[in-house]
Amino acid sequence: MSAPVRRARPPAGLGRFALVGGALLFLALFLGLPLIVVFTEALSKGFAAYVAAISNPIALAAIKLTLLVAAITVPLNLVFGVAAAWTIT
Amino acid sequence: MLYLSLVVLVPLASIFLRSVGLGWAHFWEIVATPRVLASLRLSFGASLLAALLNGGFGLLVAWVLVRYRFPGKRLVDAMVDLPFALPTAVAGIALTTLYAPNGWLGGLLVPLGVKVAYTPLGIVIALVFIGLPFVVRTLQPVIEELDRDAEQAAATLGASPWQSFARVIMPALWPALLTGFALAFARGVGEYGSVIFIAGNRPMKSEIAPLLIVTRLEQYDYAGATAIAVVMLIISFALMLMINTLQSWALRRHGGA
Repeated sequence: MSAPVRRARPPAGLGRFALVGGALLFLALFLGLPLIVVFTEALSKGFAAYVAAISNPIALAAIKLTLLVAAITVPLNLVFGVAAAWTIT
Repeated sequence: MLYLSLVVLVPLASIFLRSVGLGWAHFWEIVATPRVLASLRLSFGASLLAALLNGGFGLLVAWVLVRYRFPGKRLVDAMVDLPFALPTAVAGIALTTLYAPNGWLGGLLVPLGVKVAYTPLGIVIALVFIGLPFVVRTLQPVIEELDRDAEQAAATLGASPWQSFARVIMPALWPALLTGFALAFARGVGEYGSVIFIAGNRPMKSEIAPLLIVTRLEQYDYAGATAIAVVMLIISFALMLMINTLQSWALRRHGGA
């Protein structure tokens, strides 16, 4: 009788290790590595060059515009998206 | 509904109106060329493969993030959204750097005879990167809501973990998994920025349909661009309708939950 009760818990030990390990390996390969590449490329000419690049007025204006547009569209989508979801269900 | 119409329907309608002006014969002449057909096949095929991969791995990631505790879990959870925030061109360039023959992973794969950058395989990898958050984020809340009593009941009735996964957990997850799959697939079909850098864009081999549309636009061939866009829209809409039907069928089978 003890065997079924033991199975009631989520798989421990090897199963747990395989699931978490598999998920993390996949994430490291497909998400982690590309992100690391972005950072190493950004800093490949040294930190000073990086700071110089993002304090360029054109870069600053572009970042400001991106954030501004997001700040306008996100609340709009939040309100009207909920309304649309409400109507189609 | 007005908002939905303004934001979604008006742009779509204008595309259709433009293509109507083409006339059927001319429309067909543009679309039925080998180059256009190859690009459509590639776009939909690569998106399908990437969405399937994302369905499998996204389910695994969502499951692990909800059910297990491990060091760095919050960090990993936050990282899942990054493909959305990262400009797609940046993602494309980063992936190309990684998988190019002289890149970190490309350098390891090329001796094995696996070329990723500048091939359809590279397109699939870019689309997996872009589509993963859709699957993980649609599944997470559903896994959190899962009734653990049912799993425990299955276990006390003598079900193996595999049986309880297939018979108890999966039926409850199918609708959300299908939604995530559909979103990832749709995004893959329309994806442009990340793909064009890694694809190499050789006509007939690794040229996606959205790129072909942009190419036509740059040549001021608005009719050609619209015709390809309309074909993509029709195929996408038909596929979405199919997935939605499948989903409502899965919902009904799960007892109208």
